[in-house]
Amino acid sequence: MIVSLLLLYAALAAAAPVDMSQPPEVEPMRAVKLPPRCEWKLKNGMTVVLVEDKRVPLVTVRLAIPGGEAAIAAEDAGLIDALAELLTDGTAVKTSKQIAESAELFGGALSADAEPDLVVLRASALAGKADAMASLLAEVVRSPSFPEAEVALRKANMKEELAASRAESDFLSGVTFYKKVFAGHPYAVTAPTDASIERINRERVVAAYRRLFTPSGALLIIVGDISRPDAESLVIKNFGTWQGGPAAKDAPPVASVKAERRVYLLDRPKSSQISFILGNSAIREDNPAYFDLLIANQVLGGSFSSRLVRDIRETKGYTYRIGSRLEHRLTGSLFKIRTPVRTEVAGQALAAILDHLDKIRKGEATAEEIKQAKAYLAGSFARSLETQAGVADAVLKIRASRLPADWYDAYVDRVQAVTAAGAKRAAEVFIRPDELTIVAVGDASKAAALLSQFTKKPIVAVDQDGN
Amino acid sequence: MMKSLLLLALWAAVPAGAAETAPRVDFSSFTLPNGLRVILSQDACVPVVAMAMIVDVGGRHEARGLSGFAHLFEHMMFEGSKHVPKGGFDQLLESYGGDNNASTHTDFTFYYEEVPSNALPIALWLDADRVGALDIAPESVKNQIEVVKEERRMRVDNEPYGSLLHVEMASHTFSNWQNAHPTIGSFEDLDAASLKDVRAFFESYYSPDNIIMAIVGDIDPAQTRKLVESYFTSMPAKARTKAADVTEPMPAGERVIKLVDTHAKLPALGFTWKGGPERGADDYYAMLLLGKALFSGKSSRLYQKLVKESPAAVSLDGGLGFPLSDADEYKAPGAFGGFVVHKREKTPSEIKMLVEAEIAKVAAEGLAPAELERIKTKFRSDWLRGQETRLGRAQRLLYATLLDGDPEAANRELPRFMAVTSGQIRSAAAARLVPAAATWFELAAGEDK
Repeated sequence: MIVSLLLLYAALAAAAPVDMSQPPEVEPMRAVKLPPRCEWKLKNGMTVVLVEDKRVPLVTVRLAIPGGEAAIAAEDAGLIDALAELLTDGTAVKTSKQIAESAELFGGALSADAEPDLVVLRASALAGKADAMASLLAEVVRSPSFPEAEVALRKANMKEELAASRAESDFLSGVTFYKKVFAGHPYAVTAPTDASIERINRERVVAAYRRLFTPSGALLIIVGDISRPDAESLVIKNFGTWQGGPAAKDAPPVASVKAERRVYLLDRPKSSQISFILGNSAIREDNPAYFDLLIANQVLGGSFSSRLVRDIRETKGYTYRIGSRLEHRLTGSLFKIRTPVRTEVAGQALAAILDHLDKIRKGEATAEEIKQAKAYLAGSFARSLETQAGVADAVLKIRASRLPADWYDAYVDRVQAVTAAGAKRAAEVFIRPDELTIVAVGDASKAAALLSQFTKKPIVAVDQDGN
Repeated sequence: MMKSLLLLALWAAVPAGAAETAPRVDFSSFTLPNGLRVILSQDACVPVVAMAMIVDVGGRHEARGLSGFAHLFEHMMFEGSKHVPKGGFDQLLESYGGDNNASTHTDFTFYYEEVPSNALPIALWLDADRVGALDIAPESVKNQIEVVKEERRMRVDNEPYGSLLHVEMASHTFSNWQNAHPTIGSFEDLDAASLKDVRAFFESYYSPDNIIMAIVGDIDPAQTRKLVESYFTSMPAKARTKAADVTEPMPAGERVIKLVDTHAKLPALGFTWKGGPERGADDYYAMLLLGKALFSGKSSRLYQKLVKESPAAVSLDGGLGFPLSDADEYKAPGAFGGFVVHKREKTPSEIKMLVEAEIAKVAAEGLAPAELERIKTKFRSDWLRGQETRLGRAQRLLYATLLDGDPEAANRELPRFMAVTSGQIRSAAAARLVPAAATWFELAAGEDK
């Protein structure tokens, strides 16, 4: 491979002055796979995945606990988020400040986030200090103390953070979008309310912790400059005696009901833009049609040279930012477009977006578009493996979404196998303009008139909580 | 199959770096007869190459009436060139699995492509065509002015605290227009931009002797050098207007600026000191670490004081360079500043007193030994992480070349940070963060009166 690359470069270099009229011919991309990983299970039910990666003297860790924001009732929205944040705010022997200082002393960071289906702890350390990192990680996971004062502070700050978030159109449009598109399902709730924050107290946090935090079903991913024997002893020492009950149950499946297109409008007076989110339910990554849909989405709005960016941003200048994506929870998936556009052209912009949905469903993408979409996805995958965090997140993705173990090893081949006809078929079935949930956040005095043409039903006015 | 076996073997074989510093970034460099400086660094772990380019022009170089031009020009560089149609740049790069972006800073403009290593010749061809023969078409200029205005609406005018952080803090911190005007530009200047102005800007600054290039990753340095020579040697260097005077008068006493933000739900207090030290000066390393001690993470002094102990604030940010640039990407005069979003029932003067007290404490006592060790350990770890990606290494080599005058400075930086003493931090704080030189920004949330 190296020899042939050398020859190619040499051939190009010899042709001086270089011919600028055509892009140079190049070789195919070198194959790329996830690096080798080994996996073992502790007696208490915790799974460990190790990737030895000595490219930099660092170690990166992910610990995923099943049961995230979707594991609680809507009235408690924000509770798991508070719990995750509070894990690093006090243990049996350390204060919040001491935890932060310990993390800095191993040259890293330790944080916990509530996701829809998981609580994920992320940590990293200098290679020589992986022991200290594992010890602190185990401490916050196994013996958090949830001090009263920290719970009260978190609660007060959540109220302020909510107030601050509500100043942002993107936040507001997201709250309403998920509330409507996942209506009736735990995934519908993505933000707390003033009332749900009010309900947070130490007892509820501790109860949620006891229910979710157990080694059974927990997944520990270690990527970095550490040997298997060292990793094994570090895991046994810190997690070997951890005991607990059964893992939290999965969220219920998202029901696939035929929806009708609805437009929801949240008034944000004086806003110079209208923030749109529109989308409909889609398919999991292990669905046979997934890669077809992935390519269709890529052609539509998955990258800078996609149709939406080229047309809505570059040609028409309606927005600075637009894109479409496929989004996944454990039991439900979405196709989604997000864009803020300036208010005066919001009607034209939405009409143009719907026109693009129509085109991607009714006509095959060009060979050039398909080739480009495939290469982009393959190249992006190669780039994601540059960092330990990228490798760790790829492993987490496979495991957390319960994808086949070879999912990323076969990823590039599956992307390459998609045809224009397949992508069109998938777009026809899974991108459904008539079923779109359309959310607009902007100055309602101007927006209502612009948007009424896009729905047969009356526009639904919503409040900041999406109700 | 052979290809991926080779990759896996390389993955395991790369040795870890020395324990107490960072692994050296090895590189070679050369300059073409037309003045283009090029830095090459090889790393075949992953079949990816980062190709980055720094142009020595930023917001500070702009002339009065042409604010926002460096940034507008960054957009124009993606609008087509002699052999690449409008939109073709992204399209071609993406069709080989590459990604790209660019950013405009106060002191330079940065461009990069990340590509699978086989596609490096494509990236070079694209860059050679746009640097050598950019197509500055009237409709592209018109369209990009609209896109830039939209970007300003999104980032500045429609975003809580956007106007404070992106416009007001710079405009009141500095008094020389070159430093004080926003890099994003004003609507008036953008609307008034003529095709002639845009072309003159390109002719002035996008000359090979005003550009530095770094190529890092899965390359053969000798062959890559030949490739760069074949694409860039024939490009002539162009004459430039004299660099603008960016000297800044001494601060004329403490000032308080009162502002109202209709999008913000919570009040905020911003603060700046102008005159951040030059890169390479002892104070630069001390002030950067001081910024970490005050603002970075949950163990930082102001987080503990303002969010945890008092508790008066919700969030905060700040440090060397803030909010005009990152700490490692400015030429003097820089800034040192902070931004605290606080609770509605707290007054700006209550927040100000807490901030001043903490800074006075550092100026009197420096940092505790354990605190300094912690901050250095974290800094070293972040430094290593920044070096993980090819783009991260390319950026570091380019910054060192442009801002320190020598790519090797990228390898000297970390030991300089590790050598900072508590005494240096104390005296830097005492000398530079003096109350009489501060500018405070009291931002009220809510309706404009």
